[in-house]
Amino acid sequence: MSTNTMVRNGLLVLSGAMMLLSLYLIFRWVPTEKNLGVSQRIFYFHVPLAWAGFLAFFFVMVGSVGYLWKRTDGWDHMAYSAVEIGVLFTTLMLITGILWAKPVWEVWWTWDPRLTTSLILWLIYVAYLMLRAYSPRGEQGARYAAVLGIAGFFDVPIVYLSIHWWRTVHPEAVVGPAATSNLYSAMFITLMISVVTFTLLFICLLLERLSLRRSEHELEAARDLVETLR
Amino acid sequence: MKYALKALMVVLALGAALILGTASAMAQELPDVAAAPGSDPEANLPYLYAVYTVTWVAFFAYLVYLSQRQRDLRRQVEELRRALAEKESQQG
Repeated sequence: MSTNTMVRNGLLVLSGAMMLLSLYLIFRWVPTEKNLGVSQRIFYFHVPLAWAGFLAFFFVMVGSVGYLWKRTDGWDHMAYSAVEIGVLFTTLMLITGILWAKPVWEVWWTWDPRLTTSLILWLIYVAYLMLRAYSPRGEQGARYAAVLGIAGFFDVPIVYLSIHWWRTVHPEAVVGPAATSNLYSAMFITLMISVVTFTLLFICLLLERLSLRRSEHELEAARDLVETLR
Repeated sequence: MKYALKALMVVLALGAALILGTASAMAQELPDVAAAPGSDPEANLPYLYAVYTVTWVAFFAYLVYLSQRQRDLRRQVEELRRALAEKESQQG
């Protein structure tokens, strides 16, 4: 077994174990918030999903800058793989937000700045995937996508800071540089463990997707070679 | 085979997490509840279950999608091998 495979397997086992620990903390250990009741436990999935989505789009930005600078396929593979996983996490962040909004705000959706900017972020990276699907294979498509991957990342700080810039019904940040209030310690510990868990899950999925993307690329190159031999 | 094993490991871990999480959520007596008077702290449980179910189903679906892509790639590699072998036999 190669070192690469061992690392990936180790990460998978670790993220599985961390997920079990997170679920134990969320459902058994952390106290129920007195105003929101059990629906507040959605927070321990909703926030880490948002974090993992932002992290994915950071990888897209780094991969896209790397591709435009070096023009090597490795950077493009990283960006493409991270977009797919970022869209998955952001989709789940939006769905969990909608499911939390209904019991708390009594509406499924409101055009609040935080919600709207998050939806725009999701649409930008769905557009990235559509661009990759419909643009020509090779350097041109990768170049266009890299530009969109970089431009799209500018929405991430806007999403995070939207609750400070505009009037919003969304709760204020409780962690990070823009945090204005503190969490009860048990809630903070549970949130942090959940964030670590989702970060590990993101890394596992990214490594798997990256490996698949490399194989797809090698297959495309081999097919082109066979075509030229015919 | 390698990927199938890994996918199986992930599915098992996620499945175990789902079952244990749901079971503990259903079995537990909610600790330290300090609800506002007159409010039912468990009133929104369906939303909580919906969130966790949707999240796990989505991750599971993505893993199935990845494993199908992997299977498809393997099939295409086989087709290429056959095409190359055919080409070699024609030349030979």
